[in-house]
Order: sequence, then C-alpha cells, then structure tokens
Amino acid sequence: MTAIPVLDVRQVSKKFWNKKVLQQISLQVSRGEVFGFLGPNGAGKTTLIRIILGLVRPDGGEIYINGYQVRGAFTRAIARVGAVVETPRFFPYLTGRQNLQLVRNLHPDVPEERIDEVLALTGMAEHAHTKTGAYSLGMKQRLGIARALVNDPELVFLDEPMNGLDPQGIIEMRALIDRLSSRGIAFFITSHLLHEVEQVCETIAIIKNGRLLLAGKIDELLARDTETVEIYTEHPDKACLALDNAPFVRKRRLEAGKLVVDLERGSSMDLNRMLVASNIPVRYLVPRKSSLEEFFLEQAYGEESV
Amino acid sequence: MSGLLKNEWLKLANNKKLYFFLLAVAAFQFLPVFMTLFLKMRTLNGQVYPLTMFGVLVSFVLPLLLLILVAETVAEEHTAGLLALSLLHPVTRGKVIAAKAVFFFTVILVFLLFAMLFGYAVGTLLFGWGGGFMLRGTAFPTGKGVAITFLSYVTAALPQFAFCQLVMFLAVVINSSAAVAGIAAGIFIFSSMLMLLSDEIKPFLLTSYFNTVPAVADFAIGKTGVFAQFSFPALYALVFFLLTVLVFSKKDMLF
Repeated sequence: MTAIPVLDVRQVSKKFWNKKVLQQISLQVSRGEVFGFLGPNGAGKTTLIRIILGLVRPDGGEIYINGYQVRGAFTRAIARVGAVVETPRFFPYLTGRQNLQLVRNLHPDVPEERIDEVLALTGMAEHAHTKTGAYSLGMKQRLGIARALVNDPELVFLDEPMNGLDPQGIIEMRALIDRLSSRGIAFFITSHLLHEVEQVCETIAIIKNGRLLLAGKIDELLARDTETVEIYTEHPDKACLALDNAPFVRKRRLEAGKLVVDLERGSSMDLNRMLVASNIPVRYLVPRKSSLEEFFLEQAYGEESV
Repeated sequence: MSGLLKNEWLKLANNKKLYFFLLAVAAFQFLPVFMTLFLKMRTLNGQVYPLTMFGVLVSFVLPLLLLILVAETVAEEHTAGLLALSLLHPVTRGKVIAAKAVFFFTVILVFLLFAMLFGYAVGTLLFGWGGGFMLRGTAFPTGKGVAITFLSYVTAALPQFAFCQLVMFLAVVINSSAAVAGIAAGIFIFSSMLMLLSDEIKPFLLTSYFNTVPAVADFAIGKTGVFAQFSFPALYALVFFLLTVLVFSKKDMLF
C-alpha cells in the first residue's frame, strides 16, 4: 500500500487580472521530506503557498493535505499544518509568548506547555516576554518558526526561513529542520540561498513564470554524464588549443584566467595525460562539484545566466 | 469560536487604544461637571447624571470611536498580514467574521456600561444621589429611573453594533483603514445631516436609532413597544453581517 503524501498538489492554476501566475502545477511532498521550492522573484512561489494554505482561491486544480481536500475539508486539512508566509508578522504590542498564545487558543487540544516547548526549541525562551515590536528580523524568523510549530504540525511551510539570521542562526535553523524532519515533519521551503537549500532539502522543484520546470531528488538532478575540471596554468590559450581535438572534451571556456573544461565522466586522467604530452605546465587541476546554484541558474535562466 | 474571541480580547486588552478610548468616554462624561461649575446649573444629581450626555455620547462620540476601532481591527490587520494568521488554523472564514462581530458587540457593551457606571460615580460623588429621577418633565421613582438609565445604555448597543457591521463590511471590501474610516465617517455625517432635513426619511436612517432614551422612556410610560424600535437596526446588522461573510469568504488574502 502506498503512503498518502502529506501534500498533494494537482494541476493548480491561478490568474490575476488575466495574467497567468500559476499554470497546471502538480507536486507531492512525502512525510518527513524536506522539499525545496525554488524560482526567480515573481515566479509564483508565494502564490502557490497561499493557495495551498487556503488564503487564495485557485482557478483550477485540487490540493490535498494529509488526504483531506483543502477546498472541501479545510479545517481538517489545515489542522496539522504550520506556516511562515513571507516575512513573519506579529502583533507588535504583544509579547512573543502572547503572539504564540493566539495560535494556542485556536487549537484547544494543544496543551499550554507547548508554547514554552517551542520557545525553547527555537531559542526564544529568554525573549518570550519582550514585545515583538522590539524584535530583530532574526528573532522574528525564530518566533515565526516557533509559531508554526505550536500545533504540532506534520507539514510546515517556511518562506525564506534563513532571511535575517546570522551564520550561527543559519546553522541552528538547519539543525532544527534536520531534527524535526527526522521526527516525521515534512517541510516545504522556499529560499534564495541555494547553498542552504542544497544542505537541508532532499527534493526540489523549480518554477518559472508560473510553470513547473522540473521536480526531483537533488542527487538525481545533479548527477550528470559529464564532469567539470578547472585547469590553472600560465598558458590557458595554449591549453585550449591542445584540447581542441580531444574526443573526451565536451565544452571548454576561459573564466578569469583559468580554463574550465566539461569532460566525459571518468576522463580526467586522459586530460592530465594530454596536457603533459603537449608540454603545458599545469599548476592545479581542480574538479568542480556540480552545485544546485549552477543547476538552478541553468534551469531557470538558461543561456541568460552564462 | 471561543478561541477567536479570546484572541480578540487578548489583543484589545494589550492595545493602548482601548485605554485611550475609555479615557475619551470618561472625559466626555465629565463635561457636565464643568457646565455646572461655569454655567451655574444646579439641576444635576447622581440619578440623572448618567443620561445627561447620553444622547451626544451615543449619537457622536461612540460611533466615531467605533469606526476607528473596527477599521483598525479589520482593514489594518488585513493589510498588515495579521488577519491571514487566524486563517492558517482550523477555523472557517465565517467564524472569523462572526467572532469579530461578537467581539465588537461586547466592546460596545463594555464602553456603554463603563460610561453609565462612570456617570453614576461622578454624579453621585459631586452632586449627591438626589431625591428623584426626572426625564423630559416626568418624575419617576428611583428604581424606575435606574431601570430606564440601564435599559437606555444596554439597548444602545444594538444600533451601535449595526453601525459596526456597516464599517466591517467596508473594511473587508476596502484594503485601507484610513479609507474605511473616512468613508464610514462620511456616511455617518451625511446620515446625521439627512435626519435634520426630513422626517419621512428618518425611519430608514440608522443614525435615527442611536439615541435609545426616547424609546425606552416611552416604553416605561407604556406608549410604544421597544421591539418595534429595534427591528430596523437588527435587520441592518444582519444584512451587513451576511454581506461581510459573503465578501470575506471569497476574498483572496494577498497580504
């Protein structure tokens, strides 16, 4: 028997004033999965989150959370969902604790102690009695996550969760997401910090102009039949000529004084041999790891990014 | 819905505006003291004092305070992205609006009862309890005087609530608290002026029902029924409540 996905988005479309902002978007998130949702500014990321959360009505398509349809059984679908949409917003004249109390009051089954638990979990216990109007952006991010966790959710939406966090905060946030996902909580994360997404997410989807470009496991998406090597030499032009007819070279380009070569996987030794045979002194040969950032730029912007 | 109501009160109790509004009501209720001192009026006592400023309080002061409160609670929360927070939890949009409506009704009652008790306290402390209760030239026994005062204050909640429903409707349609307050104030002033122009149109203007003393006093004397007097504000409140729920249920929350 297949497990029901915690989030199942089917063919969702939305238009604003005749502009198609989402076109037939479908994706699934499994229990405990950390899902990265990427796209350039204005691609439709936040609109999709708002539609999933019932804040915006879709023009077409269906959304299921834990098997409950958001449109027909909203209260059951949303009961175990936490969310931080865009910058976390709070009532500035209430303390951090009071802002969480507002959420607790809407979930009678959640014990009062849960507020202290989530405050401790996000490192906000010592600021619990400070009015949120005095919070920094980083503190608001942490309290936003605390608020998203009050109702003991199974699915958490985080829109740019690393915004405003200092390096230590980012490390702690990463560890927190990791810890919670291992307990079975699924995360749906949007972020422009692709390096962070690569570290916390297992699966990603890329959206551009309201269309889903691709979705899949990061490892599988980044696996290619080529590898890239950077050649550091005093004579990049000579090296370029020497590799002209090499059958294993797919592509080569000069980048800030170094030669960057895309090779058939496993042929770096042949490259080394050919450079030595051509009497080209090489200082370093550095394999370049395929990063999500490069992959994203390639997918989202194509030739524009080169 | 009790959770939503608790939240509304938690927010208001921690908002300085509540205390500013109560202070404004208290300051207004204190005005007859100055009138007595400067104009040498010596007709006040503790029994009549709460109704001295009642007409102006419910016809002008309270509606203006309420429109600010409603505009802020609904329109400003919406544009600040705070109204959407409740909608991320297992509550329907209809319940969110119903909770706000019940909350406004309780706030109105609190304002009115505070004004009445403050009036009794100031009147009795400064002028003594007095020998009797006089209203529009008719003397009533003390018990009946208290009942008329209490009923006038309590029944004033309904037309005020109906006005709140109108402002709430504007607040879910227009995404700007300043615009909501401005339009609501405009409607209020225009309606108050129309009342002066024609008696025929009066029964169809909500502002005509704000001052409940005449209806309650007539009821006490046995001339007319209170309920007939309040059916229009009740209908008005119901229509605008339903319209608000309808619009809000279909609204895209883009903030």
